Amino acid sequence: MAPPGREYGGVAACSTAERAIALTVPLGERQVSSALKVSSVTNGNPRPIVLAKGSVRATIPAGGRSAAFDREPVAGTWTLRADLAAGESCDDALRAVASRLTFRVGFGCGE
Amino acid sequence: MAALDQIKTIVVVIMENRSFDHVLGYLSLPRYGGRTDVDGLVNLDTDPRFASEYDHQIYRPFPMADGPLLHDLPHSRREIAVQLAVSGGTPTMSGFVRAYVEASHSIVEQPPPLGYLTPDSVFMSDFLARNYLVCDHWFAPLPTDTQPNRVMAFTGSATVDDTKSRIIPHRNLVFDWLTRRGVRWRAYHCGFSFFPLFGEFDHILGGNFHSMRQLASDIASDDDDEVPQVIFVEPEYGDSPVHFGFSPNDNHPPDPIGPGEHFLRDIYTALSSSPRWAQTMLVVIHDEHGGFFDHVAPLPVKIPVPAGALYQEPFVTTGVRVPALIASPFVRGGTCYRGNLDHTSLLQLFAEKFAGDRRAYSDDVNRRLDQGIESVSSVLSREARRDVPAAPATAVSVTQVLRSTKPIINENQKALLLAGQKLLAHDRARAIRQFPELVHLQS
Repeated sequence: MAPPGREYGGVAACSTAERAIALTVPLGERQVSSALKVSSVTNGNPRPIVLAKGSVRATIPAGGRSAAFDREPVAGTWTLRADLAAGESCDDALRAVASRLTFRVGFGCGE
Repeated sequence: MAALDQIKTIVVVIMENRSFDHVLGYLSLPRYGGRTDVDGLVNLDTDPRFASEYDHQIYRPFPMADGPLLHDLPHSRREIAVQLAVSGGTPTMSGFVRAYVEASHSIVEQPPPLGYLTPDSVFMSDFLARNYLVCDHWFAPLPTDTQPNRVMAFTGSATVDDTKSRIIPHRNLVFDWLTRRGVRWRAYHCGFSFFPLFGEFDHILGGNFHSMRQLASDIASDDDDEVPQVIFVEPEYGDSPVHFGFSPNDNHPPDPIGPGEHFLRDIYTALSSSPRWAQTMLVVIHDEHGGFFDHVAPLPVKIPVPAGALYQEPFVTTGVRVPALIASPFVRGGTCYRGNLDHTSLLQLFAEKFAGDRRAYSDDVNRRLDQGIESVSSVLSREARRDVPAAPATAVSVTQVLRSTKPIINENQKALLLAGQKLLAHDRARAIRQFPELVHLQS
């Protein structure tokens, strides 16, 4: 059985200079208990993302999982970044992800 | 002979306030047949197009059993702008939960705007989709609520951008257009009609308006030279100020959709059991999406604010997709039409059929045609089919709407109340003969 979890994210912005789509997701008490710890992170986007929180950073393939954030608090500020492919425009990249970036966090109370 | 020439009667039914994904999106789900020809629901757990965001949390569509909702869903012009969530000039269709929370102040795991129905709730729409034709790119003409979208359907021009208690200013009313061209038309209504809102009371009381109870017998008894060439069939509106003999069956939330499904079955059965079915086209659409989610962005269709309009900001897109079904011997069974249509596609159809030129309705309609809105005639196939599928006998759990004795008074209810009072003042005796329930109105 999959652990309890929740999908986070939203509408992302694309930077031609950075050649990336990016989104910041601040998760505070309104969204999540400070006691919850990460048990898994999944990238549901149709392209790889670089996911970061504090000093932890991981590149997760499309549809892939990462254990890099295990036991980290779910609360905090997460950043998502998806690089544009060579020659790809911002419009095309945004269309490919329906202007959204999301990630799914499995969580538990940890110890 | 072209299919359109062979069609003698066009029947139009406009229901209320449901989106395409909410009613017919399930057609694309594997467990319901996985139709790849329909742009519906797919990969709901992962496809970003189905992710709605509120407060950085993602909400996804979920199956919803038919039944009354706690309240109506947000769908004013301002609220729809929130739902479309335009980013970089592109509607992302990610704001349905945000609009709901802002309107209801309620955050729940399964927000009602993201509910989708399944065949057991929409047995008649499912029957029509499987045996006739789905239009999966039929859009409400305007990203706003009931009155403006119905005005577009019946005039081709947007003189109002919201729903308010008033007689609606208009030009090129479809009844006038049809009458000028000698086209026989009739409107069937359950209870009180929407059309008195246009204030042209002599049309309403002039003999072209019949009770829905007469539909089957009229079809059976009309002589060839009296059969209407255009028929509008109206449901019992939930917003009607009085109900007498009919309970709401217009699909408008918070009422359930079951009664509307029975209403559609009655219409289809009456039409398809007549020998004239061979020359008939039934078009069933919804006036607007009513706040339910849809994943397809509205079309960029820009129209200037018309003279005499009661608003200043022009519309630059269509509204959200709505469920649209077409039944006729001249459509192939179980097919989907992908072309872009909206309610003014009906006016193009009338122009094509009765004036020989799809540009003959009005400049307002042509402006939309020039931006890619097609005529309904695009869906017709050349060859007529001979089979007449029988409507299902399936009973659904919700067949009648039970109303509280003190319904909420919203703007459309106020508008219909005003129209009823004005109709009574115009000719009380004829008004009550046409709409007996008006006797209960306080003047």
